Amino acid sequence: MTRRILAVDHSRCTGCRLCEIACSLHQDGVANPAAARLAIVRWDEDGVHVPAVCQQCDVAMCEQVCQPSAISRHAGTGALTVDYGRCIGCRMCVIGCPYGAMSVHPISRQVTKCDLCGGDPRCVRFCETGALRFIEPEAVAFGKRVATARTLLGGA
Amino acid sequence: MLSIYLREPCNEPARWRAAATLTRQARPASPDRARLAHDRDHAAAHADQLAARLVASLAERGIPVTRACTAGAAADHITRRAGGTTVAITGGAVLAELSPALAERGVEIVPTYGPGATAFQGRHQRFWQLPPRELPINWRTQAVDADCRERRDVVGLFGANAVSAATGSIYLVQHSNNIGDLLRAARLLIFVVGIDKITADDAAARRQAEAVSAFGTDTVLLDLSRTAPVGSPLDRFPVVPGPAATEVVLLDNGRLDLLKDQYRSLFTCIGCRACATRCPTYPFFRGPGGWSPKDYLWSHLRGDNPSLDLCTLCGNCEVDCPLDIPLPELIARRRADVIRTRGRGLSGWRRRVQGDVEHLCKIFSATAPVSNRAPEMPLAPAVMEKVFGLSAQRRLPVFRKDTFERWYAEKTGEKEPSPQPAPASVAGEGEETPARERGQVGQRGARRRVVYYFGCFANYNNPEVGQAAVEILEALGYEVTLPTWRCCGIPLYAKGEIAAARQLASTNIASLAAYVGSGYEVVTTCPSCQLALARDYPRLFPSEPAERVAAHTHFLSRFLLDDGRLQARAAETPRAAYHLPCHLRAQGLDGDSIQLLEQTLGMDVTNLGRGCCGLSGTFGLERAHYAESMDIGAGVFGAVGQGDFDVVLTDCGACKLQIEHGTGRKVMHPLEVLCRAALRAREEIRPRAAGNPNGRAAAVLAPARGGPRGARIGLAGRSGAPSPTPSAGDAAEHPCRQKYCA
Repeated sequence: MTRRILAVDHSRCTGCRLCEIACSLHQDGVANPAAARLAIVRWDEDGVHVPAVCQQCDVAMCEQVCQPSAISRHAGTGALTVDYGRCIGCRMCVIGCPYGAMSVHPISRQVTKCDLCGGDPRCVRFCETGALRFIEPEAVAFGKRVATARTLLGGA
Repeated sequence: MLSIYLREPCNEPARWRAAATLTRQARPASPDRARLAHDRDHAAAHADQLAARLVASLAERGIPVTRACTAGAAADHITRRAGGTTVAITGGAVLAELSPALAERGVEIVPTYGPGATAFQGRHQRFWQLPPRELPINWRTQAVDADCRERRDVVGLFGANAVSAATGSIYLVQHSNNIGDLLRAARLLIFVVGIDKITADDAAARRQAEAVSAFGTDTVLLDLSRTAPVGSPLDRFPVVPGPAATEVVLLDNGRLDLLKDQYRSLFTCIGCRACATRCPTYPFFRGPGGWSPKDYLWSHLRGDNPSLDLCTLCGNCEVDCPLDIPLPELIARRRADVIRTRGRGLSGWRRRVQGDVEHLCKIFSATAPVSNRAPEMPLAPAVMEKVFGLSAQRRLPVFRKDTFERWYAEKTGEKEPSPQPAPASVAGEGEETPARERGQVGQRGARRRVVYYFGCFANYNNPEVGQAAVEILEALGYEVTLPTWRCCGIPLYAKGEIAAARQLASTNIASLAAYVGSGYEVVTTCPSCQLALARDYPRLFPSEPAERVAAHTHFLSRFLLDDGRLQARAAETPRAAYHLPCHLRAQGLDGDSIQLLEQTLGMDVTNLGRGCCGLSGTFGLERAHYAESMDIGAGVFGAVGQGDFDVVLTDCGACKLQIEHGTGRKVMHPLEVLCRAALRAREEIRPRAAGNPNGRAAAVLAPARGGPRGARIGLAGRSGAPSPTPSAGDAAEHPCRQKYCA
């Protein structure tokens, strides 16, 4: 079985931000969307909402620019995780990440990132619309193929 | 109340950018360099007014300001205000400037960033070893809420990155937590404002802080490998109640003097340290000048840094500078000033001799091949080290008796009686009058004409480069002439011997300007000669002829690309490694030679992309810098060794020497490879070689007639190839004959 990924379909996102609350509750024990490991980028006037989450890149910029090698891939979940014992707080990972997925925690001032909640992402549990799904990579492609096929057949 | 803004890394911009990519929204703009240059020019032009305005703005807000003319005066004031309390300093050049004076006065200093904090051995030593990336610029500027009631008994000292004269707002840039932590913890906040950091208004100050963060990011990565703080050094101070007091120290320390003379552009520096990213010798800077190459010079001007020896004038800093500050030129001028005011001394004379490449070449060439054997003589290493200051581990380049000039004289001797032709005149008018006497722009003749400034290296060390250039240009139908020439003067200029370089330059400028005046274009094959003619002459010796020559001087690779007619046989496409000389990068001629080889030959050329080879003229030859030189070059040597390359190419003679020394492989000039292929493609020029009594010209053309040609190009280091290390014996024979015509 391939590792599952946190797949984002921004067209389904309504910008409710329940995922942010779920994330901070699980990670920090408090409901603080600013401390969440993911964030919704909102263009409210246009009605466009895009969840910004860590892509767990294969060639990850955060891992590459990290001088003390504090960021490494978790063997079980495949998530890139921060070893706070080695982190020196230089924030180069924050500068380097092209997705904006490395955050600076508003209270502890440490860098934080999505660790997939150890294989059970809470944000997915609370995403009512299916904008966030924790599925296998193949399933993402399959879903898109189905959607394309439907379009060809004249469906929605 | 003073507004303090902190610019720090933040993922918000990247989130928006990534989301915008998905949804096709507008992208954020990158820093505007033209606007920044305008801001800085304004700051330099109105330095006094801006300082006065800042003092008034701060007084309006009730913030005490102290103007300090020297570092000592500033340190006295800070010592008094600290009153025995420990001073915690953040990083920054201005604090590096002050901390020795503070330490002298017995102040206990706790660094929260920079030298002195827990040393951390990182992976990256140089820019070239950083992961390849297009670094997104994830920063934000936010007002600091410093209204924290619980303080620690420590004085915080901050170097401001930008200050708005209109409002007194202070902009600080941090990439870790150290500045923010100290702002919230110290009971007394002292902001040291270099007088050059004052901008007109908040918008300009914000732009300046943005530029510092954007252009300085790479250097932060490099700097981490040397020093990085671990944990908070502030925890050990006892907690004291009450809000923090704030004050500002306005520091001059010679900055306003910069505006009066040739170093004015240093005043426009924003302190981003982009100059350090690709500086080959930056890792070896120590002490007060260790913050960046700019501070290396600036601390020398102040008198804190005794030596400027480590700068190689490679020009990388100027390329990276967002404000195009000509740091190499300023350093050369400073060296000249030192010679003028303090005299040369023994080491100065040594450098003077080392820089006089032209005469050294003449002597060595005239006495070749004996001179090439000289280093093998018993006492030679000692003489090299003790008398000339050169490393005995080095082998000097091989000098040739059969110089390029001699080859050319023999070649042209057949068709023209004069071995050194005067500038050719336009057909039909004034055949008898040399162009230089007419001194006017002539009409273009039927044939396009170029004058080839070949320089010392192509003449004395590697005539094949010059021969290749002439053959290629003539094959394309150009009329090639050699000028009356002297060394370009770059080696002397680099040592600060600007007066001596001026003599050489004036000969070259006079000679070349006459050619240019009668419709010639100047071509060069040496990166450093090109740099001298096209950029340094107009800067150092501004005159109309110098400008004219510079405008008409072309690096041959670029010239051939622009010409676009060169076609060569692509039967042989060896895998080539190409090392980019710093002096080409400095002129923005980065990929020209690669492009030329790829376009005309379809060659597979890999750019090694490891930066400076470490030789930098005579820098690496000197005994004092041999270790540094090899350390800098290690990246290039490693890259040559890792790849499976048939041939190693570089445009620069010094780089060639260094790579051959470091890897033991023969290194060639791209034109040498190109020439052989081009000659095969242009069969029509062959007849000139037929029945040619001149052995050398025939030798160059030999591959065109030669038998089996396939896979014979650039096989250095492979079967049957000559010894990779050049020796006098190799040089005596033409490489064509050795390698390709066997």
